[in-house]
Amino acid sequence: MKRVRRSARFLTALFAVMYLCLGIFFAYNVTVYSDRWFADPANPNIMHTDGVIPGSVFDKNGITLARSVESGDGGYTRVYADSADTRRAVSQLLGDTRGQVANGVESFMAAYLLGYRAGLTTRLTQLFSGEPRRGDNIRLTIDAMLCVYAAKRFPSGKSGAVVVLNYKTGEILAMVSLPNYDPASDKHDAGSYYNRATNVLYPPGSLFKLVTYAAALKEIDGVSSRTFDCDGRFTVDQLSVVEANGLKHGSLTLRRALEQSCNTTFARLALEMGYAAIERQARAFGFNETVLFRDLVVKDSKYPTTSQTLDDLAQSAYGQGRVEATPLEMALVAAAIANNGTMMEPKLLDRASPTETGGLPVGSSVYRKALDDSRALIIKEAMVAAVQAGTASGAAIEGYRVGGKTGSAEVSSDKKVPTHAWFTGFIDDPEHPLAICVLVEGGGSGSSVAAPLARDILREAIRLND
Amino acid sequence: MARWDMRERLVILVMLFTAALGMLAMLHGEPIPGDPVVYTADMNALLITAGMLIMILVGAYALPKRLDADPLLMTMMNFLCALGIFVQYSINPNSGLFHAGLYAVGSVLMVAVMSVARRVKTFRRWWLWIVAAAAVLLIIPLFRTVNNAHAHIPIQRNGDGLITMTIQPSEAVKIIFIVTLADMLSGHSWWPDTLAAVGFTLLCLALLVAEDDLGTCVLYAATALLMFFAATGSFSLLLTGVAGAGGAAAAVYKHTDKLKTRVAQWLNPFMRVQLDNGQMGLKGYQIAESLMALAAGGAHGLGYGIRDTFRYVPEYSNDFVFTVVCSQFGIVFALAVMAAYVVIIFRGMRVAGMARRRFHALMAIGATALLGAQTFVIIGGVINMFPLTGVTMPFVSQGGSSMLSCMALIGILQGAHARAGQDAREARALVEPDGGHASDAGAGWEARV
Repeated sequence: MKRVRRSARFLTALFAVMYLCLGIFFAYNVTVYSDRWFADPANPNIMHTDGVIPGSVFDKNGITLARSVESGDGGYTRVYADSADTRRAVSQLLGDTRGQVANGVESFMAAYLLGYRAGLTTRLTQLFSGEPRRGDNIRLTIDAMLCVYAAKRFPSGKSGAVVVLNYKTGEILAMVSLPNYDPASDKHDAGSYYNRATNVLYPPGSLFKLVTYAAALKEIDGVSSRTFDCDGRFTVDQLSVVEANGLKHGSLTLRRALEQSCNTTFARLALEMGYAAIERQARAFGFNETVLFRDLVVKDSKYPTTSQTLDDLAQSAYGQGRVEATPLEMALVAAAIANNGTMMEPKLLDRASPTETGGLPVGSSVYRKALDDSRALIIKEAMVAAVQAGTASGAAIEGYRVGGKTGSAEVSSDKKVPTHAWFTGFIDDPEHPLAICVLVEGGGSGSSVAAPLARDILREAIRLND
Repeated sequence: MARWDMRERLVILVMLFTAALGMLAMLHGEPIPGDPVVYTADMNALLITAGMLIMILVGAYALPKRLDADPLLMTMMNFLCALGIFVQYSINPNSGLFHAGLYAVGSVLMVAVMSVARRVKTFRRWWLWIVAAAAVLLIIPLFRTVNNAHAHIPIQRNGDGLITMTIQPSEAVKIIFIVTLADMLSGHSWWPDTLAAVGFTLLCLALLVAEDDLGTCVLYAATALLMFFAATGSFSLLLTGVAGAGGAAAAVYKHTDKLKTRVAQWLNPFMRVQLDNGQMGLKGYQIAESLMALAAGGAHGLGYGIRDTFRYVPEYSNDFVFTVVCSQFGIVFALAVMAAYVVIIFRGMRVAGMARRRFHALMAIGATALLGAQTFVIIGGVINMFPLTGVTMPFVSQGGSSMLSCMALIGILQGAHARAGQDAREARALVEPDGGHASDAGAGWEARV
């Protein structure tokens, strides 16, 4: 009998541990993932909304982006913004409920729009009043006018993306993907359902030098005071690293190498540091991480380290080879540098409320500390120098301190194929703490295409903000 | 009444919960024709609520006093049964009524099992007959096919010849299995009895595999293993058993597709795949729909009776009833439901520790292990902690056989509890002739002094 009693005690403990694991697993997973489960485009509760009137979506200034209107047969249909330009500019950001666009606001924030996050009083009122259930209205951080401007200013006929965000709060002011479509019509161009800002990966090209720079400042002592020699060509193993347009930069400091976007210098730094050191910094910026933001779904940017050839390592220093990033991720890199190394969680939802104007704003939260203040300051100054006197001079705005980095990412070994034009940067101004990333697919050079585009969009953002 | 009485507080809480659900259930009556806003009060819901409230009081006060039942165990079971009845009622009033009827029958069954379990000390001479009966019960459904398995006996068909009601004999055999195994392991004589126990276990497992009812087979195996462990106290036996189970699972995984599919669905429920009809769909359709529906509930749930969210979840009144609980009552309440099962397990093991006879101790361990394992397997499957195994959630899932067998398991626990109290009283009476009150001996509530 003693044995049986001891066994009973042991089994009690065993079951206690099992159920504790069950409860913790359950609570943890529900807290972390339940919004994503619910927002899956296949969720029938999003597609069949009978019995609920979905709430409206407004931009930060109260422009209606989507609302429900009564259709003749007692049901409700979704109506989008009045102006066709607005409808097109925010088309992928807003998304749909038919599963065409992945993770737009209409599906990813359906829990709010369909009233699943409504408070107890709202729900009880609806239960006893007998009126149809009504979802919450949501106000986004998006400025629709800025999105319209960005879409219009974008080189015509080109594909690409623009992201503008406030680096102090993480609020996304504009997120535009081209080509776009008009949700009010049935026609759409090929590829217009993709949100290129968040769901498509591109080689980041020279923008990745920001990451390599940050890694070098940490890993190599006194790297800032060293001088490098660039004779326009640097042979690694099979690969020859060359400069854009066959330039030779001569003897230069690291800061000047960023300013002039010198490939050979960064390739040398990468060989000196090795994969692990760069990967650590890339990870700190959000590469190779499973990114779980509350308000939007972003493809994970990648810095692969599986192939350990020296050629790959050298190329990765300037964002070629197999390095891939989304435009949003590159905007976050510039934002973190501008914000003293602190990366804010990008945010789309300003507030949700059962009424048109009420509700409290959702607070901002820090996503991570990507690098320490002193290194952030060094890179920030180098980016400002790149705009004042380097490759990014096209982004300069009269009266503001702008920092930036251009990129012209090769997508083919054939030199005739035009490069992707990139720019990422920020305004160093407490009144207008804005970061931007611009990508023009096959746009050519970052300096001549992306930088001026970013300048105009930032200028418009300042104008709209004043 | 010297000390603060836990029992009263808990009973009041459970009664308030039942009454509140009952009131909400009454709101779901038929609308008065011509006036869609005003509803008639639902008399069925009223009757169920009243009956349930009485049963909670009976379970907490009358049964402990008259029959020496454990009041905490009773109250927890009644809480889960009330939850089950009202959840089923919100899905479909008819199945709610059926569930309430089963609860009534189950209560009688529980008291019957309790008084038998209390009196019996061994039934060794009947073993052969009982083993044969169990085998026959498990063999009958082999000749019928329901839901691609051979685990059910159809007993009712509708006009189109579709099966509408079945009996699952493996549920009834659960009781026989635990009781017989407990008797075989209670050490009348070591060798022949242990051999008989091993033989009986293997026979049941083999028949369940033949029935293609892997979920139930897993539960039987786990229960048997824990009972053998309790009887021998040997940790190496427990580890060997766990390793053997792992090996068996690996072998099944290698040679059949069923388990492979389950594992693949568990790992990537939301992955898009091409379905048989050519359309794109979710790989782990069942799990994914379940997770979407329970996510809709959030922390505090959508409210009792809100049906929209889980109507796409397959088997929502049965295997996936936990999803319905989550979506209607919220995650916090769902954790409280898990806690209620944990209390039942703790209480059951405590009964095993109190028992003075090996037979009753092992019986209590078996019943508790089965309830604990079954709940763990189904909740873990529904929340995608491990691959889904289709078993019912005790007291809450729809299903007559399961409801009755779970209440009979509680009957076993209560019988062991009453026996322990009686044995303790008798032992005390031998030492001090005037000691031993009926009220405090074996009463399982520490706060009562």
